[in-house]
Amino acid sequence: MTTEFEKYVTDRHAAVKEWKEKTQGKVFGYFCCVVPDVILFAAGVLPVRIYGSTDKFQKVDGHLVPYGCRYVGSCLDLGARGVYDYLDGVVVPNTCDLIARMEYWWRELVPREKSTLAGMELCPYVVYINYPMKTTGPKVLDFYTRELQYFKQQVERGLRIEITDEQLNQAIAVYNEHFDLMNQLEELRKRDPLPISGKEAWEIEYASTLMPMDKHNELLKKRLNEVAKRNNTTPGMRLYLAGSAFDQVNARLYEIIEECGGQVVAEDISCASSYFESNIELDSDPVRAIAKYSLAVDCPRSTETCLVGCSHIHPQNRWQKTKQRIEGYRVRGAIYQIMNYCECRAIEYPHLRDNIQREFNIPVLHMEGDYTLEGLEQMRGSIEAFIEMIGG
Amino acid sequence: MITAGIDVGTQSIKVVVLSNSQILAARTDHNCSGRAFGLEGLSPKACSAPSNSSHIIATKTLVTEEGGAVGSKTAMEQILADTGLSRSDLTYIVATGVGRSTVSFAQKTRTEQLSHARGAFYLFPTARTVLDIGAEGTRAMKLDEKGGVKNFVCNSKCAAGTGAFLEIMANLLQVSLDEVGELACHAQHIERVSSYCTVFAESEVISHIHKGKSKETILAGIIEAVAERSFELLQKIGIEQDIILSGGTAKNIGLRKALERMAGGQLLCPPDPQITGALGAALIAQDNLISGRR
Repeated sequence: MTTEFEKYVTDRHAAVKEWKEKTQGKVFGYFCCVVPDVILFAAGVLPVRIYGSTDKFQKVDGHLVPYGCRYVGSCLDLGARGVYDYLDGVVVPNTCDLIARMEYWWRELVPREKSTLAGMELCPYVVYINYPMKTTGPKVLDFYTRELQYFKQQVERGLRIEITDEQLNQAIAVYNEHFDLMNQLEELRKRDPLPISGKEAWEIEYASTLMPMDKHNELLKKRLNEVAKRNNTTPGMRLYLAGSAFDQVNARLYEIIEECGGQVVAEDISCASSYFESNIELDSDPVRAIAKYSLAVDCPRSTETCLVGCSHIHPQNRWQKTKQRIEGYRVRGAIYQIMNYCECRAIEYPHLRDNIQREFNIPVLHMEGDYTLEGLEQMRGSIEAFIEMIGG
Repeated sequence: MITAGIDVGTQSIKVVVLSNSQILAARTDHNCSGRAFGLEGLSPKACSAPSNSSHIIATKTLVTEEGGAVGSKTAMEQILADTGLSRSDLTYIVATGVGRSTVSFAQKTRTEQLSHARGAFYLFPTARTVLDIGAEGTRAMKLDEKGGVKNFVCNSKCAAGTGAFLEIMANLLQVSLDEVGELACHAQHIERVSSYCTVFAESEVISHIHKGKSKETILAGIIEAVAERSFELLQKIGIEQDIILSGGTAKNIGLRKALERMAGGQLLCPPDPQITGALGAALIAQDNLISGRR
């Protein structure tokens, strides 16, 4: 029987459209884990993460740069083909170079009539968030709080509503509950024998990026109770998985790993634990609290080098987060599936690989992804060899 | 205890039968489509490595013209006929290679990385790095002092820099694959050929032919391109002596010399490097029997 979570994996568009039809609510699409979807949730909007597909490109080849990753191209192609026509708005943050340019590309290829009042545009269909290049420093929080206030105003103008502090605080409470529940799930994944497969855990997290968070929380509470009581365990070589754009396409890798005798118990895949490892601290200014949380989201795009005068220039912040994700999970190997042209992941990889090997004394497998199922299947041999190698 | 290893590759199927009690029997076999290999020099002793209790009874290579399931069965039947053994004499069979899953009669499968490493370490116990250049895949493995694989890297999706690349270029220049290495060694200089795309490299070779460049210099460029791609893998994994070259392409003397120049030292190569994977699989079968891991 298909569970509510699985429904979003098999046909996310149908599930979201069903919600929209039933509630007559608005749906905004967004890219990347740094977008403050909690503000949209507070406005009564359903925030849904935009993902790609394995379909061949039909509309975007003439627009994308040759070094553009296939995931970005695929998302845009779906938009240009009208697959995302159910979206009432799109939020683009300044994360990697390609995603940042999505603001222009989406406007160009998915044109919409402007919502105006007295000739003035109320809110652009594609809203850009200037997520700061540097996420730490004395003025960053002030800057980003102003950016999010502006973002909030744009949403308010576009929907002709007011998002009150009370609504924001209620939304923050729902999101914090989600983060707590996801952390409970993580605790279960630390168990040995493992009560839940990597694929199932991914599926739960993936669904949370597509469905109302309060509904997700209710379903997750039930699932956690059920998982905690499970007698059947999920065997396999315990592995850490890192890489770019783990949506329903790249998630096939979880299955391939399981088919090869492995089991993903922890990950860094641009959503999942990068997103819920800290709560939104309630503040007298909820927007500032959201900004603070959002700046702390651990995205490889925000890899920071040391300040001038340091003896090293390696991205220590990313290593510390990676270390936290591996510790306690009894991981015996790490797999990096880095998509071609994903410079954010590729740049930090050698440093993280060396640290993982040194600190945890576990092997690290690097594979180049191309966001196709065929490409993922080609990785099977390497994964099998990797698991054999660890098993001896 | 008689075990067998079968390596189902993209272009050929290799079989090795091992016994821990029989004396090494060298044999050469020919079949309608493939070449078979003599065993002279394949024993650990001949490779200047300490002898152990395992002995190779026979080896066989078939060019893969049929599917892996049929081809592997044919190869196994032929080697059994050649050695006078029956299937029931084989205690344990391990399959390796890209087509390993098609070998229904194997008790276990093992990846190429582990099989080549095991075979290379058996032949050269001083092996710490193994470079396997197969028909469509190149792999570098780092070994510990017990022969266990510590790490490995593989070529990416393109076949540029593999045996298939060499074969395509040899066809283009109308020389046999066996001649490629020898001819390249006679080149006075190298005509550079791109190493990142087989199709573009083909165009470059045609361009060199049109310019009247000699076959030797073009072949030297082709070999240089393959060596560069393979050497990248060695650099990625970190070179540690001794380096063993395995896989069919290792027979190419020009390639071996180019790699030795890049690595700044000697590369060890078994006389019949193409059967290293099958040998490793047969040894893994034997290891499993000894350790009781079935």
